[in-house]
Amino acid sequence: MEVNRDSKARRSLVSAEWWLTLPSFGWLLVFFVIPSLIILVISFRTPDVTGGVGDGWTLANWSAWLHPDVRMLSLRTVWVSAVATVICLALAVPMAWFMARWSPAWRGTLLLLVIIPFWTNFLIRIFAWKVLLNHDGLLTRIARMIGIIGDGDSLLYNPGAVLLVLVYTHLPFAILPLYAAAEKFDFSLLDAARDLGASASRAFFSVFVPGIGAGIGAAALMVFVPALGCYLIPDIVGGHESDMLGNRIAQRAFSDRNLPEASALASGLALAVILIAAVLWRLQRTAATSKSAA
Amino acid sequence: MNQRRTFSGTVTVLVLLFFYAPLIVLVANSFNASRFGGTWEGVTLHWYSDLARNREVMEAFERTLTIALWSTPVATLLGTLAAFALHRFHSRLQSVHLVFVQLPLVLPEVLMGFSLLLFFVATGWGLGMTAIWASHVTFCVSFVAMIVLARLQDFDFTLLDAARDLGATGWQTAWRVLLPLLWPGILAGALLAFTLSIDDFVITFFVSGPGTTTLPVQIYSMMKTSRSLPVINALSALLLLVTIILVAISQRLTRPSRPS
Amino acid sequence: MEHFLEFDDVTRSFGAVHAVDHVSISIRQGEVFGLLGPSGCGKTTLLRLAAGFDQPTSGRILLNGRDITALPPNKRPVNTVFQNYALFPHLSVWENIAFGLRVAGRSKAEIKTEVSRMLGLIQLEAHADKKPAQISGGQKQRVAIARALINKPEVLLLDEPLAALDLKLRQRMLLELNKIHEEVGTTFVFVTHDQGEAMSLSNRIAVMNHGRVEQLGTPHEIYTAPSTSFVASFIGDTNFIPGKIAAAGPNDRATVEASGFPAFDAVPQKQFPAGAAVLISVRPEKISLSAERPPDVGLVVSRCQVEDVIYLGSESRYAARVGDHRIWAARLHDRDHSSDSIRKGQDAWLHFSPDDALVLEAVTDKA
Repeated sequence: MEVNRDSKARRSLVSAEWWLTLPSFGWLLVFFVIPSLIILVISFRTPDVTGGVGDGWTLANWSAWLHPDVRMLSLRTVWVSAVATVICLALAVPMAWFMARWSPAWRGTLLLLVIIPFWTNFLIRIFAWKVLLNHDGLLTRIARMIGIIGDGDSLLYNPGAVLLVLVYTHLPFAILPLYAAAEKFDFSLLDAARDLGASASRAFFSVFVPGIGAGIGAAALMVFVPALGCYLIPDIVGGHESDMLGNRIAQRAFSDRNLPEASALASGLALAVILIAAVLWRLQRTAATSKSAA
Repeated sequence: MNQRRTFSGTVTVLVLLFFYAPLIVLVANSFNASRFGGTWEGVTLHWYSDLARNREVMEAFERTLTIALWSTPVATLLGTLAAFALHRFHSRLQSVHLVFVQLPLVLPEVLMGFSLLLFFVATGWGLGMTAIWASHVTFCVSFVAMIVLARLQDFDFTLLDAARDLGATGWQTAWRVLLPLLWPGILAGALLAFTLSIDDFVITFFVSGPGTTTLPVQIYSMMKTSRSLPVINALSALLLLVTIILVAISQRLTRPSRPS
Repeated sequence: MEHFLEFDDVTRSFGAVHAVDHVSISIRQGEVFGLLGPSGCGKTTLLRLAAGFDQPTSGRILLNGRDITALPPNKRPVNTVFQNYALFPHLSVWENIAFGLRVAGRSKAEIKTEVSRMLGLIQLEAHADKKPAQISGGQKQRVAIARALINKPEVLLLDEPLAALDLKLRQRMLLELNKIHEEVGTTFVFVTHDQGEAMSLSNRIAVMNHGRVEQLGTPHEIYTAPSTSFVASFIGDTNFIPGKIAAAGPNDRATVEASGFPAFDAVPQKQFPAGAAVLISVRPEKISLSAERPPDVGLVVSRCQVEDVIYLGSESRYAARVGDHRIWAARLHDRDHSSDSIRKGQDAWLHFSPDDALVLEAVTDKA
């Protein structure tokens, strides 16, 4: 009697779960997982001379990763992303501190001001910089006036421009999780540190910064990982020497019509991104749990 | 502490200036009679009227809106259901489900765009409006799911017990208690999905094929060919305005309820 | 009616753990019944079983003779007042109270009358249009009660009704609950871990521990005649003196040896064989201290050293050492004992009457 009651309840619970899960699960399976698998499969196929997928199986496409060009591209991608992440963190941490210290009235406004650009069209934000940095742009003229650059130069189409726009577009992603962590931070800990003799900066670096460790991890994740896959920014404001992995993939796919090689590059990038994201996520989780255990 | 405050305060102000300066210049330039925006040559609404008369842009805008209006409801529905499933159940299925939902948030758009391109070509679905629609739904589901999930985690489920205790059936409980309280979160998710759809460039670029240009794709091609740059200014200024309004609405909706 | 709400050999297991272990309780119609015990004792589980939010693994739940075990919560004529009140934040006080009637499909006019009546009962007419976030904790409590009572349930279940309130509010709410019960007459069953709450509200109490009912009785019975050491220590304060049964006598009497005290005759709470280890429970207020040796007639007497005196204004508490044990004595400062003659560090005589000694089983599990 009782066993029946339990298993009947359990069965209706299981079917409820299936009904709720199936729509999104099914959709993502078809339009996300399967296309990803297709890419993985194609990366092992030979390219067709007419610009498509050939018939044989090969590992040759994956050797593209060993190509000096691609290696340099990867290095540059990682380097630019890392530098952008560091700059974002260096700017976001003081900002989060400042925002968390202010009274609620100001805090809401500041948060709103940070969020608005975050919601603005990505393309427009890049375009805004293109306008400012181009040959006749406002910033270029100012730079020329100050004498940073010569008359014929442009601030555009170089790795610096890419870095600048990367930081510009990804900074909100760093600020938001850091602000969330700073808001939860118990500021009386700093008073305790001062009471025990620490200087203001000592307290800041050895109490506050570790205290928002989980936020720093999340912020790093939110900047570094998307930056790795960046395509649009180098495409619009970067020159040829500022290409990143994303551009190479697009180039192989569209201009060179070498789908298998593009697939190998794409799959490799995807795996690298997933791995890095998983590691960073783990790190910030341990930071969060060790903090709550403390 | 005071040095800390002035330093961090300065950083904050500078960063905010950094954020808004390009946008302000953009908006200013949309009224600037100069073609290149390097110098100021007088106020004009000339670019806005050019914009209104630009057929390509208008058509692209219409297409963008259509896609957004069709993809938002579907993405919102799927995302909300996903959030319920992920919150309520903790089985193996849900662990896999969670990975499916979270991966699109992590992967670069190039990768998703490329994989969808190959998918639509390989399956014979073809590129175009429906392909764009399906792609938009796909990446929006994750965002909606995460937003609604966050609301669910804050949700007091004893309220549903209370409703049942007072005699409500499952449907009455959902209709009278669950939905009214969850509604702002769902709406915020829908708003985000709408914005993402309107905004999207990379994925759309990959799967749109010839002839189906959306607004971002149109802006991109105009940028690349340096054609009608000031019109883009005007367009951008308008989009900016729309964005600000949408953000304001969404912020009101997602304001966390304060426990009394 | 005697067996109005009945738990018939109810068990609720979670794997190997029995949250509720073969519990049988019979609750009378119209009484205020308390389920008392430490956290994890199963009282909340039992309440949820009564409400229908959980199903027993075995056993039945009967209401007014009807088996309601399989009924879902929305079909039971039972309503719950939740610990966190669970007021619907998006509805006004008025709408919250009206909820049960609305989902039942009652007419507008009827709803209006009933809600007004309820608002009058809880005296919150002025706050009818406010949202839960705008009213205080005590007011929320009353709204939660009104929301439940408006459906005229046969039993009202309350989960830790006074736990979320501060001390002053708790005392007021206590009186309110009593008043409401008198006016409405519904059977109340409530859950609490606070023995003071249970004693002051209930007609009868079931003291629970590890999923079982240790004792069921009136507050007086439970306090003066606890049947186990757990109940003796959970309700009020007591001293536990280890001892053993020297010999079993006629008429349920036994000779008991308490360590540090001379042997005495008492009636143990249950039958113990000779030689059995026992715990003797004597409440502090039943223990007296005096400077002179009291007469031996009918008293258990021993020499002690007063280690500490705690003056609490209305009473004093004395920590006295008898042999290896510390015994607490309490004395009210009434007209007879207005001044304190016993001092810290003093040697004194400690005594109590064997009638006040409860001989209980020796267990390691005490509250």
